[in-house]
Amino acid sequence: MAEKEESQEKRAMPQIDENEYILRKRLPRRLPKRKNDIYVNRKTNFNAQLERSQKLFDNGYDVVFIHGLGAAINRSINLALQLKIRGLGSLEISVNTSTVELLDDLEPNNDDLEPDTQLRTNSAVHIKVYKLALA
Amino acid sequence: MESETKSNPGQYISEKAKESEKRGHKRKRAQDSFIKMKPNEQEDDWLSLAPRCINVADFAEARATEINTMMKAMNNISGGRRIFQKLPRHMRRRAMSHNVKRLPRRLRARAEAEVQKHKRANKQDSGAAKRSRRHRRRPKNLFAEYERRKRKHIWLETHIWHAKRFHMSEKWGYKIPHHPNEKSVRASYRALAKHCLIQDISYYGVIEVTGPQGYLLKSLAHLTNTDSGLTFASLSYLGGKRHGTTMLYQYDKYPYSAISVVNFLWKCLSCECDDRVAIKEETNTDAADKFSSTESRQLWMWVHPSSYETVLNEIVKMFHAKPVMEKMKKKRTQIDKGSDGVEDTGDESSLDFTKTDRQFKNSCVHIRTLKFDLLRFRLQGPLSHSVLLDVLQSAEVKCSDIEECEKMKWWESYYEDTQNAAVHDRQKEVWKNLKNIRTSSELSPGCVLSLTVKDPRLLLPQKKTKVMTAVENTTEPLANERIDLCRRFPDGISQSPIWEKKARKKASVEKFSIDELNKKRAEHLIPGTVLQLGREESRIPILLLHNPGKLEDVKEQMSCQEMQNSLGFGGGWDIVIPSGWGMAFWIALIYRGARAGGEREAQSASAQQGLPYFPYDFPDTLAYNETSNLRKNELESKYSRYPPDKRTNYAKFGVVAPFCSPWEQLVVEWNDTSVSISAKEQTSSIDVDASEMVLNELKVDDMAVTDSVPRDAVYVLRSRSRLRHLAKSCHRYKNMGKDCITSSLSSVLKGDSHALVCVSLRMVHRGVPALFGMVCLADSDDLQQLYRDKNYGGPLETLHKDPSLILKKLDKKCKKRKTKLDTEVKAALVAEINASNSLVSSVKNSCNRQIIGYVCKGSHTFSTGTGCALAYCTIPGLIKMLGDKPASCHAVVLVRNIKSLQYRFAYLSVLTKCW
Repeated sequence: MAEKEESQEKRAMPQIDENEYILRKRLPRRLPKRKNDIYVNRKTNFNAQLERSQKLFDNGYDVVFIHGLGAAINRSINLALQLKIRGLGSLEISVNTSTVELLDDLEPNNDDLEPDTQLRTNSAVHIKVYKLALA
Repeated sequence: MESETKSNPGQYISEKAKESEKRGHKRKRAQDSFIKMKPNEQEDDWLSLAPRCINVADFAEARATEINTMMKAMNNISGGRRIFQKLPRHMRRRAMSHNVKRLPRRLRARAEAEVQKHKRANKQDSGAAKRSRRHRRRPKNLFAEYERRKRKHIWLETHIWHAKRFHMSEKWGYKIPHHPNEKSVRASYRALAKHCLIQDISYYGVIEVTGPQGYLLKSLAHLTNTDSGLTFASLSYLGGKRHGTTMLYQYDKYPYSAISVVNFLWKCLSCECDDRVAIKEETNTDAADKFSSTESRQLWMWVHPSSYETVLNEIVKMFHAKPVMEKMKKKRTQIDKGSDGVEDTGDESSLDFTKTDRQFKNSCVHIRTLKFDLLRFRLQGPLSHSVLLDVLQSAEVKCSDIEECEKMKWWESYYEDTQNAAVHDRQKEVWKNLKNIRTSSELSPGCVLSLTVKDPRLLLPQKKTKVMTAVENTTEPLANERIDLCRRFPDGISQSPIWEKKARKKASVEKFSIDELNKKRAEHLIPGTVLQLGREESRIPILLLHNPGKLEDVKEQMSCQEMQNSLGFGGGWDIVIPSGWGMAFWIALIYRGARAGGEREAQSASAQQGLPYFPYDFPDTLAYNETSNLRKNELESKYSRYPPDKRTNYAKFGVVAPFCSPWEQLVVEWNDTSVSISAKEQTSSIDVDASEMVLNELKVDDMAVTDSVPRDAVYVLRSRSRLRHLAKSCHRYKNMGKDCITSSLSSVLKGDSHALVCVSLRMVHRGVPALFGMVCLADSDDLQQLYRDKNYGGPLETLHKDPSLILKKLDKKCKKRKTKLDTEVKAALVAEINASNSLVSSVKNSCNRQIIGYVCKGSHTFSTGTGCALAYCTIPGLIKMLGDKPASCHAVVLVRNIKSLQYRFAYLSVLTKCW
């Protein structure tokens, strides 16, 4: 799954006392994954991701969905555009954005505190890359 | 016989005799007595000293033992062979063992005697075992045999399943599956990372403590310390909503004498309704209140079998509890109760729960061992949630029409209570909602859910299948509920009948037998559909304990990108079930595609997560000492079995401790050097490096603070705040100066110079660290070379000299030249050998780079794609390393394996959460 931009959210979030709580992120929600869904992350080699998506088109898929969350949005847009360039006019893009709710756990550092969670939101992008019908 | 000779061989003989005397041959000395010398012969004639005569009787007598052994050897070529095996090849015939007549006549009698002897021996010692296979495999006999074999080591309920597929090891009084027979290291990793890995960890025994909450908490606080993390008294765990893990120490001995890591769970507060819980929570926020509450609470602690007895003894001692003779008392109460009591003497004896369960009591606290009452399976991996969803289905517990005459089932009596029934409904609802969640890592970490489920044998798929998450099963309206469930796991749903001994036992006893089940199945009209047994169907109370897997502190993650690992890795559920149900659940889980692993897989899973594994990675515990001693003996005996040229010469590699890690000595040496430096400093006012200054300060403080503890007592630093401080200074930092870091470290780590710190290592380039590998300080030259050349592999250790080899070589040389070895040289060499054997020599400076710690567990990890290790380092060593570290770089150390001369670079980071 995608990485999150940390510094920006820090500013928006209420300050947590470091001595009282440890902030631990929970994984974003795991979404259903079809064969032609591609979740972009920042760790995997970009070319590998590109090849993977290209392979889907080569193997008969007409539509590929590229999802990116937070800091991986740039990458997913880049990926889609690269695909489009590679397609030499045969591919088209349509973009949707959404907001994903993420949870952080506040783990207490001492015995007298209750654990807590905080809800924050992050932007996500869902790009549909599809083959144009041959006219 | 007499012989006269003119020459003088006597000189030769006597010289030889002298030589043999030196070697300690007694026979030759005896020989002298019967060799009669002719006195006053010419001295120059050497033949004159030759014996004149030989007395045959004396001569033979002196050699009697040798002759005897020779005769014996002639008669009896070697032990354990049958007579026909001693025949020369050309006299051997086919089927000689079967037919005596094929032997030469002179040997027949002896062969016959041998045959008879074997027959007798077989009959005597293993009569039943040698019966025919068909007899042995009859269920009754087979089970009798199993019972006999169980007596020595406790068997898990899934033992037979495992024994067919796994290498079993005898450890800590149990037979524990070690690893599967199939080639499965990578497959198990894949199961862990992508699907579901399952382990039977029922060998973790439960200790139950019941008593008033305030008293329990106050007492247990002596065994734990809030400094090392959350304890029993934490509000996170006290409500029974979550299960926790903590480290136990001997009574008020923190930080020394660690005993064991325990996983614990409080029994959920018996809530009448939600608002009471809410009130409770409000009041509970007051810390004093939880210690003064007198409500009776029940606590379960899962303890590793290697330290089970130690923990139990410590707790019993703490409460001054007296053992209770349980069996007698219980039987009487059963008779008293009559109809209410369990009337199943036959079944009970076959299940035999209370085999060795013991009880202890004082005025208000009741301690009970539940070693045989509860089973625990661990499911790890993202699909463990889906697997469980498929296996576990909430049972129907509405008792609609009970005929008076019939005996009440356990669930009927338990759920008669409307509150219990309401709780069950809520649990059912939650379980239904959990279907919308794809992995357990979305849930709040450590949450507990209890269920009463249907018999898993009824829901078994026809074939072994691999459960996957369904592609589309989420619907939008449920999104809110899902978020709620993730955010705030509901209260009060961990309440379960499994906490009650009676219900638990009855659930096991009332198990619908597999035989009956099969009969019902055969009568079933439509094969393949789920069998509806109605009231007859068994209901099983279970507990589900959530494991969050790998957790990461956001702060640490930011500053240390290299160490980033996948979040929630290795997370899943632990399932706790009453005994007797092990195989039913096990098969059901396996049929859903869960991959079974043994202890090796558990260890490798913890290695992949970068977490220590009890007891192998806890060097300050008694359990570690025991296991490491066992391991040492094993490795040593294996090492000594190999010929010298087929095994590593550790002396040449400069490895002082190839079979165990000498923690005490390492710590003592690091502390001694700091003293010597300070002494040097006093005499000559040379500028000492900042880090060394810190060391000195540390030492002085240490001496002031800890006078009462033994000097070489080693403990592991588990104070969260201090560890966090250390961890921070391992990362690269920009703003702070070097002095600032080291000085703040010294103030924080006051008095901890005898401690070890758990660190994780990740190789910079190549290399896989292994057990007992040495963690060393890198020279400034090494570091500079690394920064200059990114592909620099690391320095080499110069080959050491092995004094024992040199001695051997010299000896050989002397023998060849027939000269004597210089005694002084020899003495020096022998002294050196002794020194290296007795570990007196320095551990710290035993090789070119200073050793600061040892690797506890190291392997290639698939999750990072590099070699990773878990090691313990001494604090003075760490501080020295951090003092020399450039601010812009992450901490780097050198690691060398015991079978290599190559040092490799590794990133070091301090583990703040040690279990």
